[in-house]
Amino acid sequence: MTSWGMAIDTDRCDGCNACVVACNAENNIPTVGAPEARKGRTMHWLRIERSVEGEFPDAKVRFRPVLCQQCDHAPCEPVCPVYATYHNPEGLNAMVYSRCVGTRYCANNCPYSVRTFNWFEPVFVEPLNEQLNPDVSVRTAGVMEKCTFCVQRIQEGKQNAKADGRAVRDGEIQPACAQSCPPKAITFGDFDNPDSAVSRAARSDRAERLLGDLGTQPSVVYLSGPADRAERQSDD
Amino acid sequence: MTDSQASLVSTSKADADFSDAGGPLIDHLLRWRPRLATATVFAGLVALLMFVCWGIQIKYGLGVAGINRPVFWGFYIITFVFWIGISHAGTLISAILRVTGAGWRRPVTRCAEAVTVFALCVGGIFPLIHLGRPWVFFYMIPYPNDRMLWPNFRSPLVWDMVAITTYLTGSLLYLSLPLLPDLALVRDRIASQGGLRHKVFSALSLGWRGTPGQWHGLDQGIKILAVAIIPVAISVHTIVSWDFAMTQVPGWKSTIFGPYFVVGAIYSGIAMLLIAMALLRRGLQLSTVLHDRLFNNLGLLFLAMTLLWGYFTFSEHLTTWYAGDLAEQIVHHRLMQGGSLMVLIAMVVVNVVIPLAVLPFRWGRRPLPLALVSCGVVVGMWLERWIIVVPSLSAPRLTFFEGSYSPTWIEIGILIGSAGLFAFLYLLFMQLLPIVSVWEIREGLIEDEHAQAAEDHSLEVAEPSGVPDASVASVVLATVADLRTLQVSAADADAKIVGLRSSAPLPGVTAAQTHRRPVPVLRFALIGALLGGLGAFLLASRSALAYPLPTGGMEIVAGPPVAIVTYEGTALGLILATVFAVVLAVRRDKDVVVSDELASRLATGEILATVEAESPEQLTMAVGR
Repeated sequence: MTSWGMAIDTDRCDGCNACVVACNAENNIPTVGAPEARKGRTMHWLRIERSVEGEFPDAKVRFRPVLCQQCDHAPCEPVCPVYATYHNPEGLNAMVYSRCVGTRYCANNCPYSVRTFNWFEPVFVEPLNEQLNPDVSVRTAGVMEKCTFCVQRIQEGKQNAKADGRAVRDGEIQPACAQSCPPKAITFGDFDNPDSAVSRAARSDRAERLLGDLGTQPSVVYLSGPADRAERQSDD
Repeated sequence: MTDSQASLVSTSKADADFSDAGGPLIDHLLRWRPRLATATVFAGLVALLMFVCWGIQIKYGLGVAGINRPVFWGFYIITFVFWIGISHAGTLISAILRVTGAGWRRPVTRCAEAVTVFALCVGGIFPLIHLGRPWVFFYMIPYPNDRMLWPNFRSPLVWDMVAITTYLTGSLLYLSLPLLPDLALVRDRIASQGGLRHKVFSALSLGWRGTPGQWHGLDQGIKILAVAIIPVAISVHTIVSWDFAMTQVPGWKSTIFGPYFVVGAIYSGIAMLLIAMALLRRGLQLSTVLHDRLFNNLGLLFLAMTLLWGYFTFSEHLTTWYAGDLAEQIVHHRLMQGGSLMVLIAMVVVNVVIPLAVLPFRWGRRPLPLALVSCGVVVGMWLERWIIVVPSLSAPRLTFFEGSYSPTWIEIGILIGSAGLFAFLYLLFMQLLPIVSVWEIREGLIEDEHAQAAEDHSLEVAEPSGVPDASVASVVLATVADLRTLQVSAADADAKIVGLRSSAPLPGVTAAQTHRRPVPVLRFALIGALLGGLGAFLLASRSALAYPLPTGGMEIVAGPPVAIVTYEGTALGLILATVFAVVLAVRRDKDVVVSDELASRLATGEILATVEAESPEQLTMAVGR
């Protein structure tokens, strides 16, 4: 079996936002404009949270990219009345847009606030309308959406491997965010393969999971220096 | 007794004289009331606002409302909970009073049940308004379809839908069943006029004749429904609270929410009921029916709910304040500052301070002060739901999104429109159907009368009413005591009373006395409950196996959700089977027909008996001629 996961090294992240842009481009995520953004209606599947540690002049800024944590025990899943979000066999927290009726219950119950809602019919201003990804559906007004771990790339990778008659190689599949990260802070792979890069990262003593005590069992691990981590835990 | 003898308004007694078929209680249905009609049209126009705003929202998208990330739920859920809360007025209060046999309930049951039904109708629209794609709401309904869609019975929203469907069905039937005799009353009263209205009332009254068999069936049915509807009502608002309490959201995840919501619901429900009663009393000049004692008693119940609600509110906020859980502390801090604090203070003032300053005193439990306090409580309970929904969502666990929420005019328009819709439906009901249960009031009077010593009356024999056989006679009786006399003389003469009709159940008269076996309503009800429970159990458990999508690490067939759906299914089966049995009992006696002239005398409170004897001589002896 496969269990997709991600490791994000926040010591490497410099907050450049390339992942956010790549994600928008890959997944046909609409931009909403300043007035809507001010109302908190941005659509990004991935955001970079910024926190300042210490006092000036010894201050240090830390960036934390937050995306859907693809929880094994996802609070968003059971509350959906129509199975629009459910757990797929590869550990993904799948989102079926065409089933969604838009109760937004999942979004309320997501402790990471990573689910976004199409408040209006999406608009892709020129020239963005010319570069929509044909592998990803454009969502209509009234449905929820969120990070899929670039499920279209996962499928492509699996198909390529199958065509070649081999297993998927570690690192072969890369979500847009991981691919575009200049300092290579994001690693993607299979948790069920003990030798994969993500599994090694998850075993490291630098690894922690976001809001791990809620019992959501996220598939994303964050890596940071042990000293920094202790400091940050007292903030959280 | 004639119409001129009994005037409702003139009596000063607390329990008015209803011997003339309710007089004003029915009369207002037959008369054109310009002011009432104006009010109805006005309410209808306000209701239109709701649909206009909703239409705009459907056309342009949910973004026209003020909800955002992270405050994904706003006015619509608040108002949904509000109306479902209001709906706990009627049916629950009327059922509790019926079950406990509180005699003073009689004038209030119907208008309370109507509050429930219409509040549910209005509240039931809100989850649809709230949906991102309301046009595919049927994805949530369990029916076999080509889309391979099936609802997730683990979702509290599906429990909600199941519970509200059960409650709406139950309370609609619980309102309709006791309406039958009064519909027949109106039918008989306007029999001479004929026309469309008579046809409509004839159809609606399902052939109600007021025979002992029908009364027996109705009595059994109402008793069973009253018992069944109480746990359903409690489950409905508990499940509404679980929409919140099942989540991970700080401030929502609380075990107190179930009872807290139920108490709040009953509290706001009584408030709305008191407003409706005060308006009815003024609008239809019903001060002798909706009398002071009624307001006083409901006022005491209202006071008890104030104290209960205050206690729950204090407990809820005390625990979050004290425990120091970080996420909950943030919610608490947000509540204790700025606009939220104002809302909190306003809520405490109108829901606790003012009621406690007014309700303990006798003057405070008169209609006007009660109605004013109730207006405050209705507003206050809406604010309470704001306090529950908005601050919690504004403070998500990861503080990246600092939430804030203010409604747009679309949401405000829909809120105002919903109040208009409720008023419109209520006013319409008031004009088309008897808003006060005439037969129940008369039943109370007959019970009182029955307790007094019987007087002697001479019996009046009507013409054999179109029956050519001279051995059958219709007898018009004024009181139950007369019936006793008739029974004795008929027995002496070896004659039988084959038909009996009355506009209220007669004490001591059973269906068996007219030689018909009563419909076993209770047996029907139990079988219905069994079938309903089994069906719901299979629906929730087996269908999940056929649609095995894992969610949240739960079992595919999870025990608690199956139990909840089974509970509601049991209640729904019981309610439907009970009503089926009552309709059976009613339809079985629909052929007992007498002339319109005699039937209209029934409407004035008299009892019609049909006596059958083997010979005209025996008949004469039996009826005392």
